[in-house]
Amino acid sequence: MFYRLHAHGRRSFRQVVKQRRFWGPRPVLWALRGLDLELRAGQSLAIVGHNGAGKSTLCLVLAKILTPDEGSAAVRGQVATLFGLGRGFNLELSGRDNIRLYAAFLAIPRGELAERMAEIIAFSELEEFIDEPVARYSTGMRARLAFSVATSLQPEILILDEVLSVGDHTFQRKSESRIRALISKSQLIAIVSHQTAFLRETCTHALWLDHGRARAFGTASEVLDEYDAEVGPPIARSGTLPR
Amino acid sequence: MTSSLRNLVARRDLVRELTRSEIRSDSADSSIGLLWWFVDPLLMMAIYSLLVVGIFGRGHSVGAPYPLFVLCALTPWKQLTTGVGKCTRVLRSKEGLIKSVPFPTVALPLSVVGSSFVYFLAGFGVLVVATALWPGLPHEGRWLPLVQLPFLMIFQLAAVSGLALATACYGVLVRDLSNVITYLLRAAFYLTPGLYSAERVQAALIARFGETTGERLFSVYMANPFAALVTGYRDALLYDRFLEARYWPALALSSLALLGIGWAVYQHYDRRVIKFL
Repeated sequence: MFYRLHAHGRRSFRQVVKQRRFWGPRPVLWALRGLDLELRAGQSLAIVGHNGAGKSTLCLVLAKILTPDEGSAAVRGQVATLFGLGRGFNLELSGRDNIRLYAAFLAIPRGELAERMAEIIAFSELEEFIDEPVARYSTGMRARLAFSVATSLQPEILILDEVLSVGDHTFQRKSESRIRALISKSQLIAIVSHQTAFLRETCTHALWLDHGRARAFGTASEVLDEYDAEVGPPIARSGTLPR
Repeated sequence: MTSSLRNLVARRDLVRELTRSEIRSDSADSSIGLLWWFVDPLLMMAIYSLLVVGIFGRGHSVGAPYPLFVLCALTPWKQLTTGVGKCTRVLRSKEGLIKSVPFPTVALPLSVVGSSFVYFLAGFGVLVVATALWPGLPHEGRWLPLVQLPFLMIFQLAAVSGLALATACYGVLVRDLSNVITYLLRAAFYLTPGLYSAERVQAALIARFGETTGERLFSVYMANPFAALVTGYRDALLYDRFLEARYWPALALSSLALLGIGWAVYQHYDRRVIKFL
C-alpha cells in the first residue's frame, strides 16, 4: 500500500504548478509492504508499532476500505470497524435521524434497527437530547451516540483502532465492558493499541509493524515482550479494564 | 461490475437513508425550508423572463408563454447543476466517514442525485400546475402526450447519474474541478435550447450550411441528451405533442451511454480515490 508523495493529498493549484515533474515516476512512500499473514476464526490480532508504522493503513485494508496496490487481501466475513467514531454524522440532523443514517452505513436492517432503537438511545444516555440536532452535541456526546450504534451490531470480524473507551469516566466503564463483550463474541479481532497489558490479555497473536513492514509476528506474549523491551514499559493509565 | 451493482442493490436502504438525510439537511439550512423547492424555479423563471422578454424584447416567437417555455428547461437543468455540482465535493466532504466505515461509496453521489431529483420533481410539479392554469394556453383535452414524461425523466436521471458519478471521482483527483464545473455547466446551458427553441437552431444551421449538412449538424446538436429532454418537456406540456420519433433513439443512447461511462469510471477509481482524500 503506497502513497505517491506530491500527488496523493495534493491541495492547491499552486502546488500543481510548482510541481516540476508532471510525468514519469514520482517519489513513493510505502505505508505497508511485504506483509504476509493469515488469521482464522477464533484468533485475535494485536497490532503495535510507532506512529506512521502502517497500523491504521492495515486496518483500512482489513476493513476492505482500501485495496492493496500490490498483492491481495482476502477478508471473508462481516466486518465492523471501531475507528473514527461519529465521522459520518450529519450535524444538521437530530440524534435519532443520525442513528438511522449511521445504522444504514453499518448495514443494520431497518426492522432490526427499529427493535434496537430504544436500547441504542438508552445506552448512549442521550434520551433528553435525541431529537436535538447533533450540531448542538458536545464531542463526548457525539462519541457516545456513535459508539452506541456502532457496537449494537455483533460482527464476525471486529477491527478496533485505538478506540477502547469513549465519553466521561462513567461512560468509559460502560463502553469498555461493551467492547469486551463484543470481543468475546466476535470470531476474529484486530486491535490497534498502545496498551500492551490489554492486548496481552485479549489477543492470541501480535504483529509489530515498523515503517510499513512486519518486524515481528507471532504469539501475543512473544511479540509484545519484544516490543515492550524495545520501546519501554507502557505508561500506566488510570483505572483498569473491567473483566 | 455486476457484483458492484448487486452490492448496491443490497444496500439500497443506505442510498434511501442518505437521500433523505440530504434533503432534510438542505431544508434545515434555510428558514423557509422545503418552500425553497417551489420558490426557486419560480424565481429563476421570473429572472430569465424579465431578461429575455422585458429587456431584450425577445421570446415572442416560441409559440407558448415564455415564462413556461423557459421553466421547461430550467427545472431539469437545475437538477443537473445541483447534482453534478454537489458531487464534485461529495467524496471530500465525507472523507472521515469513508475512511472509517466500509460501505459502497457509490451510494454518496447517487444519494446526491436522488435528492436533486426529488427537488426536480417538486419544481416540475410547479411547472405542471402552471401549464394547466396558465391563461391562454388551451390544452383542449390533449393529455396523451403527458405519457412521455416518465420516460423523459428516466433518461434525465440516467444522464445526470452518469455525469455525477464521473465528476465525483474527478472532483477528488482534480482539486479545482468544482470551480471549473460551474463555468462549464453555464456554458453548456447556453448551448442547450434553454432560452431559445431547438427549431431556431435547426433553422439557423440549415440557413448557414444548406439542407443536408444543416440537418446532419442538427442531429449532432440533438445528441446532447438535455437538448432532447428540454424539447420533449416542452412538447408534452406546452405544445401537446410527442417528441419527434427520430430524437428518442439518440436520447436513449446518449443518456444510457453517459450512465454506463459514469458507472465504469466510478468502478475504476472507487477504492483508488480514497488515498487522495
